Amino acid sequence: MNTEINNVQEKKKSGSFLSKIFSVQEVGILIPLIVLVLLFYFINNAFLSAPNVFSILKVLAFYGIVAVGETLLILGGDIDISVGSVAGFGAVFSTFLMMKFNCFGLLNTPYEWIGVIGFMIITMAVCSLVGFLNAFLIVDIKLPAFITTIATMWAVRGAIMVVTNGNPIYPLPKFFMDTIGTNAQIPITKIGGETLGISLPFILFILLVVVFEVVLRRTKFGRNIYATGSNREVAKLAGINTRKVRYMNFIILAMLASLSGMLVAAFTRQGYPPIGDGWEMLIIAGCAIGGIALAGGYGSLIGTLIGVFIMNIVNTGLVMVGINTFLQQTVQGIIILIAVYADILRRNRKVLS
Amino acid sequence: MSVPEIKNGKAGNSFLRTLKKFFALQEVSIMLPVLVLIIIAISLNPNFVNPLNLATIGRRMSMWGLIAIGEALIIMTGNFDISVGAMVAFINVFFCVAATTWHLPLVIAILLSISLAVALSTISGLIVVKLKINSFLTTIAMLFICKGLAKTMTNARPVPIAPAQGSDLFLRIGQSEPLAMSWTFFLFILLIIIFQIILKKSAYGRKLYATGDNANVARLAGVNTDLIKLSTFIISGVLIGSASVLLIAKEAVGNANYGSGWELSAIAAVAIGGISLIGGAGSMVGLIIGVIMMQCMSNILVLLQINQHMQSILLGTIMILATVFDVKRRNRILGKID
Repeated sequence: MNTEINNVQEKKKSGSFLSKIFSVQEVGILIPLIVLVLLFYFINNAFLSAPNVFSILKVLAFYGIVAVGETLLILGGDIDISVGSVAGFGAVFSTFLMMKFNCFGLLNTPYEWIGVIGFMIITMAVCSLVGFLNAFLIVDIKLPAFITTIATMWAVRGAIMVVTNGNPIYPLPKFFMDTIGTNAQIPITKIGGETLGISLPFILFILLVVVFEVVLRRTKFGRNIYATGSNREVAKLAGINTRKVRYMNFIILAMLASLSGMLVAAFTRQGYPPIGDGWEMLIIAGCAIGGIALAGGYGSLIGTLIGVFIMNIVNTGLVMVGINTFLQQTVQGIIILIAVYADILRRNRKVLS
Repeated sequence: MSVPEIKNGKAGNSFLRTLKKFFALQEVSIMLPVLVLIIIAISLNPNFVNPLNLATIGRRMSMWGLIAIGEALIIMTGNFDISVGAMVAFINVFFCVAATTWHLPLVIAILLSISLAVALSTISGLIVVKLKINSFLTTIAMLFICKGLAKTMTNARPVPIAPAQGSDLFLRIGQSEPLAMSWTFFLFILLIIIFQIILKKSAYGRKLYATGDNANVARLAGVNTDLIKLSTFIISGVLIGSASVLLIAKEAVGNANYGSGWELSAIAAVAIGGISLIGGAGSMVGLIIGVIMMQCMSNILVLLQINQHMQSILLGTIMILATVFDVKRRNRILGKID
């Protein structure tokens, strides 16, 4: 409390560089991240070994891509818990189409990529319809967001099972598995004959964070999202087309979710039906940890980036420390509660001050 | 009406009026789709009305129906509980482990399991009521917690209850079929009746509806809305604990996979039964119709050899449609023009 006051006074007095840095909210979230990394490192030094670091970066990117979309949506004052199902649907539907139509009859030819990319785009278009449906029900018919998206979550999960009958879809086109999946990385080191590097999803994730951070801060669309999220009525009165903003958010999110699901399918080399199961909570928790106000209107993508890092580092760290894998789920549940409660505390403090 | 002599106009009118009143009842309008469903089922596959099949439907629905009662009460107060299925998964394996691995007397194990269910449910309720965290987020977190605990406890392997002391009698009760039904079935019907009376006739019931309809107004009117909300979670906990124990009595083996999807069935039954998913309206009679309809539906899908998974698509659709009607009805009542 005291230091906070000091900080504020200092800032007022001198505006020194250091105090400026510490008054940025993202820095406050960075501290637990660093503490966690050090903690896991001291318990098990292998935590910071190259294979583990690269594997963490690869896995977190899948959640991260969806979290970017979810952040935009939450900033705009909505919430969507159907994202996990949409990601799973993207994974199985794209692979199903590729194998069903043999990539437009180009399977196992040098032009295979046309079919792969084509069906990926088709899948993203189909999944954007789910986002559109959610938006229609929530924005226009004014249904409660939680009830609606949990219904679509179950319905889409059902669609996944209808498409696959519960069986994984494989084999997949080589281009999809290799060029988009395992081989798509910038090689950094070589350990034990295995090339380690920054994976395509991770690059994509960072790219999305940067692009949308710029969009949020520098463009009219970005400012409209914040305005819609902080007070929809006022935004409407100010002439912002809040309906369009919210529709866009839902559709962007569904497209990113399906893209992420497809990337998981590419990396795991199969269209596995449970892909995306439980993602929604990890992603929403990541946003909440990253300082995104769940009521909308406040937060940044840098925060989400850090939040996603924290969620995944905890996951991997628990395994490295030797905690039962099944218990991870339990720990995740507790983290979710803490993150959401922290969000409420933050909101109350803001209201008081 | 039963007296045939009085056949003047007045009696006819009042008969019509009663008929009109009868059809205006919400429960009756829900009943019609059930009847249509049953007629379709019979015409497609006459085996549907086979007494054996009907008894199966009755036995199957009573198990998750118990949980749907608690879910319905929670939803009536304007909250949601998505963790019910995961809680069943945890409590049933906890019960088996307590009785078999820890060698606790069966009665103690039963009481312990039910208390644990109540404790977990109460924690959810307290978080929702006191910390004011959205009930969806709270119970999804609880779902993670319970699923993790269930699998940790058993390493995701089935745990039989059989060698536990007194399990013979316990299993005999659980697997007996009085009147071709199960004891759970009669418990389910009894509880539906009891809660219907409580909801419609007691002060508690009125407070419950008031809380769900508009918690702020109810609080200003002197209702302890926090306590009402919490009480529904506690009741749900008791029901979840009991259902888990009864499930083991029937299956004899605990499994961390039990209960998966029960939250979906329960919430769908609530929605089909005309209970407002936004809170404040509905009845237990509606709920039992919803439960019957859900069980018939999955039975029909099996009989017609339709892909089982179509069901979740169907249920999601039903949930949305029910909410659409609910929102429209509310707007009409409030006279809102959008």
